[in-house]
Amino acid sequence: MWRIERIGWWGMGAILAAAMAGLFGHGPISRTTAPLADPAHPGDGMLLDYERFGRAHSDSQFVLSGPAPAPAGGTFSLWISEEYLTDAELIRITPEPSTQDLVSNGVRYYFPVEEGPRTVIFRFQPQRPGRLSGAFRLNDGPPTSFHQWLFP
Amino acid sequence: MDAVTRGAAVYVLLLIIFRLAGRRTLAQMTNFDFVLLLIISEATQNAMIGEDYSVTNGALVVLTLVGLDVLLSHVKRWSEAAEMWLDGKPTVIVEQGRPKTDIMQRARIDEDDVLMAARERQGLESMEQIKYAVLETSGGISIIPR
Repeated sequence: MWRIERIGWWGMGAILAAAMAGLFGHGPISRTTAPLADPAHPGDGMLLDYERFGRAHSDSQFVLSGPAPAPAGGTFSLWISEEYLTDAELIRITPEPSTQDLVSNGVRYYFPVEEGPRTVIFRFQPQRPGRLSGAFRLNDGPPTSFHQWLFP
Repeated sequence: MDAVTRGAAVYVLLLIIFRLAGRRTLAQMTNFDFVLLLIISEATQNAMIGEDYSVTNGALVVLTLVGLDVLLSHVKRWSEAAEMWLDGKPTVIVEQGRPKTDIMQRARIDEDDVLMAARERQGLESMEQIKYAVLETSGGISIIPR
């Protein structure tokens, strides 16, 4: 009996250490990155930074940053797959997009840009635990898919 | 990460507040003390859970609190100084029927509290019947009759 308790303590310590590292979301190892490219503007891609481990009914941020391919005073667009939008509630986009279009298999958001690098943050709240998949597209580039594992 | 740090922060904060408040604070609860306890738990709940209502977050907060409790119990066993700081020491407040008024004053106890404990636990009726009364680290008063 005492031995089981002792093992339990070490187990608790291990779980807490893993939680601190972010194995259950909201930590350093829970985040990963994927590149977004636009063939029309080679070299002007963005980087998608998202949570591969998250929690259902808790905020999950997608940070897109980089030199978005658009002329100053123009716009660039980001497309999100419908697949992800059905499983996660979109809380807020920072900055707010100027317009949004319902297109095939997803929604396209348009952002007006000035000079300099850009950062767009999508704040989602996944609505169910388990494995969620989706994809982002920059302008008319190829889709960059992502996968999340969500704890209940 | 945030669940663990929030839980640990609230644990340490409460530890300091209740250590400073003294062991008698919630030891013998009046109705109002009970209400106070509920309000404190409500207030700390928000601080620990935040806006994350997932099961994982709740489980991690509970695990953090219990884990810290186990850890501190080990620390107290290894180091007497830590035990002194965290729990304090049992204090004799009545010796051979004579109350030690200066210690009782500092611990926020009066003779009525001692006599109440004597009546409830030992069925004694006067100070003279008490050999020792000890304020335990739990905040209770234990009575040894003559």
